[in-house]
Amino acid sequence: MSDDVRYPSEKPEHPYFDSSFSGMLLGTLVSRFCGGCGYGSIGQLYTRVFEDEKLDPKLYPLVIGIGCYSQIFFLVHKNAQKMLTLHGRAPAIATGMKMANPKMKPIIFSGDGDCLGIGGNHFIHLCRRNLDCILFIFNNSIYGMTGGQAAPTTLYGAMSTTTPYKMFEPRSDGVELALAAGASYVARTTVAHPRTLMKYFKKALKHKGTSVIEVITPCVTYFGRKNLDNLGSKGEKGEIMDTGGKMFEWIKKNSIHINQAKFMSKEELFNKYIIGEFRYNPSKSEYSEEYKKIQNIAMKGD
Amino acid sequence: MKKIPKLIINIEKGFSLMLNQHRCQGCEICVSVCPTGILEMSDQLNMRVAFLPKVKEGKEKYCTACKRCEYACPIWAIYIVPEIENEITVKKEEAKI
Amino acid sequence: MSNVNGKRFLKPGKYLMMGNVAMAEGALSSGLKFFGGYPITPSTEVIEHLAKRLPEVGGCCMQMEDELASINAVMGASLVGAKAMTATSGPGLSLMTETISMAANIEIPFVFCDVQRCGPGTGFVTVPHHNDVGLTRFAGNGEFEVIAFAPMSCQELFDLTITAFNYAETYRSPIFILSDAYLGHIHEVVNIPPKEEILKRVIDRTIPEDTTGAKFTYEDINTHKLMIPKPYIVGTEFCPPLIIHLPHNQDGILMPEENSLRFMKIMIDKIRDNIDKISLTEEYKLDDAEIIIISYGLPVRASYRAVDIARKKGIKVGIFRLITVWPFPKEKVKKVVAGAKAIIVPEMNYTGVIAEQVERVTDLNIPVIKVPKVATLHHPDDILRVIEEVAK
Repeated sequence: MSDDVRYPSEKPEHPYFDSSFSGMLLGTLVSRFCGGCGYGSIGQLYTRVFEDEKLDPKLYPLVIGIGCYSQIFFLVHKNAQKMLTLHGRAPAIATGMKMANPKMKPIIFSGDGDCLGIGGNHFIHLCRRNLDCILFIFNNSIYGMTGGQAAPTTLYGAMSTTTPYKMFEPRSDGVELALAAGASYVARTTVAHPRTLMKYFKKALKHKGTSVIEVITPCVTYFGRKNLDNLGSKGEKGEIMDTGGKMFEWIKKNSIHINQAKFMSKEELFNKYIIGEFRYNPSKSEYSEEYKKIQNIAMKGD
Repeated sequence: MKKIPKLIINIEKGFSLMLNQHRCQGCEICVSVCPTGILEMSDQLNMRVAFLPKVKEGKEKYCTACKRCEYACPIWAIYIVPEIENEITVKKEEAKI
Repeated sequence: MSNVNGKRFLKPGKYLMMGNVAMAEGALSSGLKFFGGYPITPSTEVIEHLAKRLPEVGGCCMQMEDELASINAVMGASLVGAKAMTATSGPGLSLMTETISMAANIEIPFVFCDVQRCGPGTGFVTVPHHNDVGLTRFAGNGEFEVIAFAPMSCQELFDLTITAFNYAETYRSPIFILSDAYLGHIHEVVNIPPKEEILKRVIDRTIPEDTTGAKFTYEDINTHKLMIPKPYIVGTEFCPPLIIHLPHNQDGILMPEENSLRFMKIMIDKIRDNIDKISLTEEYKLDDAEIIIISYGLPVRASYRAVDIARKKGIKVGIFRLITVWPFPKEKVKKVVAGAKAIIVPEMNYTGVIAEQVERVTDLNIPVIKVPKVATLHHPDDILRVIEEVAK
């Protein structure tokens, strides 16, 4: 299939093409994402870290929720053991996997609707227990797979198919929720900062406990084309963000590092994304190790 | 298998910037992500009827192979390839990027 | 319950055990390694007992934040190769149906104990009502077949749980144990067999030698029989490259839409083709019976007494008991019912779920009489009155 006329896979190929699932399965790189979407590059960054860190596929299963990013299994590493789960239930399934096989460290791909909407309860309790896993929240502030409805993280005043009179609800913040619930490593970054995303991913791989990494990704088709890029800043004249490049500019303009955010007032931070590492607490006790102690006590007999 | 046209061939540093023409979706992410801003959209169309990025006039030498465009491209279409065997032979030993 | 320094098996002998506890011990004996549950009357004793006993066998008992998380944690554990189980009641089962439907698609073995309680909605929580029998048959969106056991004593709760885990390993479809509020809470004598006897029956979760074989049920090309491979385990070589709950072929790769009918055929026929091996039934004084009682669960105990009294009065009546309620053994019931004068179906629900199934296979001139009871047990006289009426 490699000389498929539709998408000729010309040589030399992308350096990580051979280690991608689609490369192995179809001989050419099939990415079912819209032009300008951030998930394609997240799949590549996952494959890069998986390849460079030489992760053992048996110890790092990939649990993917339901959303646009569910199609990311075409792009992730070919050896990774990937499974698609139900909408919002990925954290619960990962809990079961981790407790039944404590050597494993599940990596969960979840979206803003998937994790803060329908799966909120499982997300909170996953962080409360501080289970050893990595939870990615892809925040494109829209329900992309079902056609652009408003998500719990949609910005104030944004247009979407279910908020024709602009979004009026206050938005929920995944990082604040994770901090309050007790996750031990919480960070937020964007797709426009790919190196920091890989740095956080590698740090989370070594961290014992729940690592929550929120990733701001653009959704051009349903968010960008429907909104002006003065969403975050008041008063400026905005224009439609109808290409990936414009959305990347908007993301870079709207993301403020945590150190700089300390000196900014509430109004300035309105509709802005604060990026950086919010909490890194390696000393917090990890859930499966605590349960191991109970097992040792129980197995010693009465 | 026809050869991919190269956007940049840099012999001293031994790398070249490739663009997988017919896979590119014309989303302009590489243009916006490039730190030295040497890319811009051309008016050449590919099989997907998308405009292809190209390097600005005379700005090839500013490319530092930082691979930000390679990381950010959603369709894995633009990437840095070490320049080892090509029509133009490289006199130095293999360039390590 | 004193146990011999926390081993998987209890010391063989007679124990006075609560129903829920007997089921938990049955699960432990068949190698349970993970339990995910949420407190709900009348099945809370299961998680309370396993919270103490599971860590002793190196397993993990987790009380999750809600029933959805419990069933998903059970599925996660079963994906990774641990024998897993959950126990809940009516409202929990209705929350868990989406995950059961997904587990049926990707053929994940697990055992689901439904301790039924009365009434739709919250209902009376401490009284039995076999109202989930219909729900377990269609426990989730989409078409798939389930296997449901209906024990009637604490001893059977122990034995049938071991059979349930074996069926889960071999048939890889959702397995239900339909206990109820009374059966879960009564204390009865349970005879625990020695370890060797149990181990002979238990099927363990092991991966085959050649890990390149099929991972999902498929139709053998030359024999056209459905082959059900051993369950795959994530984290080993014997695992499909992608686990996706869409119609898939034997290696887990997506099938195009037009093959969905073939996928449904595989999902349903893998149980229906093996119905003789799966369905367990029991007969009592049936050879010369003209009036036949067909029932399952607790009403069968009252029927024994009623049949003995009626037999003394010279009425030819017998019992055909369903131990596995689903899949409904149509052919077997058709043979039993042919030539009978009347069929009596005592059930602990008003609509008579199994009565309707029996009506489906009996011809029209044989009357099928329902004896419904809700929230209270059948008294032998209730059934005896119906037998005498019919015998006139």
